[in-house]
Amino acid sequence: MIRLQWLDYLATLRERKTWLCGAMLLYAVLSIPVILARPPAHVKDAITTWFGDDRPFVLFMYVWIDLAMNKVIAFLPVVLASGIVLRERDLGVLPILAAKPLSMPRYFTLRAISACAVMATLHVGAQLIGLVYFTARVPGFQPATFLAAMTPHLFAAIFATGFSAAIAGWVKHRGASALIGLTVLGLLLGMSLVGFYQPAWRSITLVNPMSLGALALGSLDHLGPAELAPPMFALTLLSIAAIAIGAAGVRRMEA
Amino acid sequence: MTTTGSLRDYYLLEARHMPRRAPIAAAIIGGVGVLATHAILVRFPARALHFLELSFDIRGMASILLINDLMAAYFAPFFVGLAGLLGAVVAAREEDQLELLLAKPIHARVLLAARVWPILGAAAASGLAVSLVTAVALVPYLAPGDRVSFAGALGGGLLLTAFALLLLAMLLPLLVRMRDAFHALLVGSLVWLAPLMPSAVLIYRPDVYEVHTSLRSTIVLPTLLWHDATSAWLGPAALVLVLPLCALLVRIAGRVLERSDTR
Repeated sequence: MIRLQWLDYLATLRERKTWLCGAMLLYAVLSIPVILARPPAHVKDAITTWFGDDRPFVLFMYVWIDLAMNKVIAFLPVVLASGIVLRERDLGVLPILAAKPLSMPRYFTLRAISACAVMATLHVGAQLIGLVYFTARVPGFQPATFLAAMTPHLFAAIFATGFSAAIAGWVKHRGASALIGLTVLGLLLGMSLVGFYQPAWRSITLVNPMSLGALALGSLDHLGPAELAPPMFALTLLSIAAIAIGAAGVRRMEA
Repeated sequence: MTTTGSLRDYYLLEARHMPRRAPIAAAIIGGVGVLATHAILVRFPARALHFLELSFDIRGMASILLINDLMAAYFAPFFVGLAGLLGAVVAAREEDQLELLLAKPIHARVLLAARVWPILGAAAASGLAVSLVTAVALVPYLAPGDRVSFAGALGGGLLLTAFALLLLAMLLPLLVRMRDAFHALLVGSLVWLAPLMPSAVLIYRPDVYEVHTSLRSTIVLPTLLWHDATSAWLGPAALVLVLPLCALLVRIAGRVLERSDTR
């Protein structure tokens, strides 16, 4: 099973769309320092108000999460996971898979985990390339804080992928699955930073899993296990639940 | 050879088989999304709203709401159309049905036109519905001296709907050659995102436009609010003018399909 999982991960990693996703992330890494070269005064003021910190690094982290990585995890998980099992069914290979000693929920779980692993690989790859590039290009860049702050966001990306797979497991139509995934993830990500704009809503916005991924933005000057572990733990549980719910959805799917 | 009458029947048959739930759902969700955004934004602190005013060079609550609402009028028709095109065009090649479909006594370009036009029509209808909700929902927030109006909001939404249709039609010659629906979805998503980049540049690097004022008035989203009176007539006009452009691009895509391998 582990060998099959590894081979499926490698096969997904080699797909053309995965390489295009990688190119999209590379473009994000290269363009952000250019975007931030001369921020206007009102942007600096707004960042100081929302995050209580006027350092250029806080502005960089806000733009990196809001403008780049949140957009990435609105689209890439849907592209990677919203056709799981449905594509095999539409291509007519499901009867062959059904004849193997692997139940449909287990096959779905295997494919969903591969998609999550590919999403994680792309996310981590972008942060590591960014770590090198931003250190050279962004004044006041803090590598350790950057990596720590992006770790909950990685878990949010994994959840978004598991969530897209779960939609596929229940909707059972590729077009509708992609459309619902894009809409719901777009709305969740659009609302993910609302708690910073309107502090009175901070606690209620934590029900949004995507807010958990960006929570580190509010404590960049004192990031530690106490700030990072709870959102990562919650997002891990939500990812497992999403994949389990999706697997339950494909239980009765006919080959 | 087919006659005109049978072709009309064929067009109607394809239209009847077009997915209907997605455009209806998109119109409803888009409309509800616009109303929900209004309910949330009006409760934002004044400083957060002032940030939006300064970022997009707009004034007043109606303008702040409209700049957000226009995203729904751009999102709904494009992704409803893209999902439909992926199912009707790319999936046919991906699922090895294209050879069978082209075995019908019709030209490939007729097959494509019959499948694509109902999808573009449904996408336009969902964009129209979201634009109407946007314009109507804006009325209670309009104040004397506002630079935006009901007609301008409707025109802005229609202009973005027309732009979404044009992007979809421009994607068609590429889609008819693709055989992976999710690769096509990614390409489509990038095509949708690309025109929004100049607006992001306006927020974080307004200095880029200091010496390019005509560019600023052309390629950024808030230009639809700055030129409200123009948006009011340009939106409906664009929706009409985009039809011949779409027809041309559907025809080009048909030629590409005729000349490409069916596998």
